[in-house]
Amino acid sequence: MQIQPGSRSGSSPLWQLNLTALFVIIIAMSNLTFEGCMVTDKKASTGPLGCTLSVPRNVKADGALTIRLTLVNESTSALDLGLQGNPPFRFSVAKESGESVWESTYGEAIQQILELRTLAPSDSLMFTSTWNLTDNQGRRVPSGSYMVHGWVELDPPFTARADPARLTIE
Amino acid sequence: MNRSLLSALCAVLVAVMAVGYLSGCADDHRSDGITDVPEVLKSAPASGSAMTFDDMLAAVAKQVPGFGGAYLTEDGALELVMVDASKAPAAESAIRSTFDMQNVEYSAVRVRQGNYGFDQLKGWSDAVDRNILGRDGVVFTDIDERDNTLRVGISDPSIRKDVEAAYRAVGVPANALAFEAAEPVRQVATLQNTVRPIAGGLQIHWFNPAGQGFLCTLGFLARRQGVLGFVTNSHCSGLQGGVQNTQYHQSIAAGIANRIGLETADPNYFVGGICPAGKRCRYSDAAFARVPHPAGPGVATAFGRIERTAVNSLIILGTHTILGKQIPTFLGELVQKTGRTTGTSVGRVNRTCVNTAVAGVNVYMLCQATVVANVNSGDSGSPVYRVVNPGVFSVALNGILWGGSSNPTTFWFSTMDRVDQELTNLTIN
Repeated sequence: MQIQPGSRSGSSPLWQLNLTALFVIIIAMSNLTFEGCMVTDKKASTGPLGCTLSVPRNVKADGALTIRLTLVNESTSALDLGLQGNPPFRFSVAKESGESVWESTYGEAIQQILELRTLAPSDSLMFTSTWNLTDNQGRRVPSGSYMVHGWVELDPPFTARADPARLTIE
Repeated sequence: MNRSLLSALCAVLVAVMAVGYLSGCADDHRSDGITDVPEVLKSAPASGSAMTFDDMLAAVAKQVPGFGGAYLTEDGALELVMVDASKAPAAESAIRSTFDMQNVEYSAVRVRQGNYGFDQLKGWSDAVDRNILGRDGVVFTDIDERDNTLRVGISDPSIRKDVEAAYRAVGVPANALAFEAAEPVRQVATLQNTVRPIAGGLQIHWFNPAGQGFLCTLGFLARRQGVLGFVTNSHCSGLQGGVQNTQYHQSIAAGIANRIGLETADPNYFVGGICPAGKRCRYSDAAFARVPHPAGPGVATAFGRIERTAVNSLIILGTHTILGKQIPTFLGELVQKTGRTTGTSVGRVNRTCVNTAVAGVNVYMLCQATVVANVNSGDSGSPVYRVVNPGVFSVALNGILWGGSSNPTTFWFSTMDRVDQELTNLTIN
């Protein structure tokens, strides 16, 4: 699993203000929902972030799957983000019925660190993980249709969640 | 329309307005939403002068003698305190001309009997000996525009007689003076603010070798081989394992102004033996930073203290005193943690000596403990402790928090015996 900046990150973060308050102000002022990315807390679904989940449509049952989640600043202002935990992103796979099959951090403890990152306009972050097509108990999953989910945990309580992608295991 | 009909219509209109006013139903005062402010709304002076709110109420009383105060009730009415109720309309008019009322709405106007004009109360208040009011034990003084009294909040009952004497000396009658018990007012600080002296539970900020900034929590102050410093997580340093001379700031880096320490100990992780193949292992996720940074600035420290907040709160109420190390940690033990993101959370130890895979890194933590309690990112480094005596806020230190479940309803911590062993005989109180 790795984090790759889409381009050079912004300069040293401007941390004269509490991060959470600054992000709430930005979210409140933007009041836009971008297709493909829901930035949510429990109350709102707005945000200046675009996110794309990249997954091949098909994969062989004996193969492996690379999942990518890209977070883009689609606003005209720099965004100060808090990336929650190490890693800050999560991927999961579920059957069409919604039954969970695999989670990227299943059974692991997550370091409770908060990373501060500034995204300039059009700047992006990419998060990648490889799924070896096994369930949480390590068993190969059967062929069929699945839904892949990806999201980034931002400074609490915000989460940037991409539209799920359909995957066929042949 | 002829003149007599027009006159009649005007008379009717005036009568309707008068009836509407006296019944408290003046349409231009009715609001669709009742304000939920139970006390007088503080609106800006219309002229932008430096007058205080009390100055302006006194000005209304100068215009309308016997006006004793005004406030908004819980049901959204404007209640006027009047010595002479017949002057209420004039008082309301004076209020509207003195204050900028464009954002103030009230559903009705009501009148209550008062004993004193507000200007009279203010005159007495201004005349009282300030030396008395500045004494320890006097928390606040107020001209109460609802109860039509001079109100004094005291935290020390023994000074009441002196304060009463000071008010009597300027002619304040007994029924114009009221006392109430009050707690001293403290400036509100949170675990995320810059706080001095530093203690366990406060936010710390640091940068990795790539220049990326991170937030964690200062675990606890300690002396390591005689050197004063603090313990936080190994992963809350430039690299997990090994010393990279990470500089720490509290609460946030601002040049060197907030710099508090320098990483000086972070034992390397080992491979082989009981450590799974491909992983690096340790028994504690702990690192030590000396305080202050050798190049300054100096830092005030509260050795042996952890910031104290209410459960799920970040607001600092005081400090806990660390009595010692809690070794061992038992299954079922009730512990707390205090961290910069979720404040204080409480739960029971539900697993001990658990070998744990860590997400995102090739690290494997040996013999850790878990607690069912609230945690979130930024809480890494939080002190985990048991309350020994709640009455005097004394605690014993169980260890240092480093991880959480993905939900997150469970946190992982390294126990004090292992922290002590790997960082070498810490003194914590």
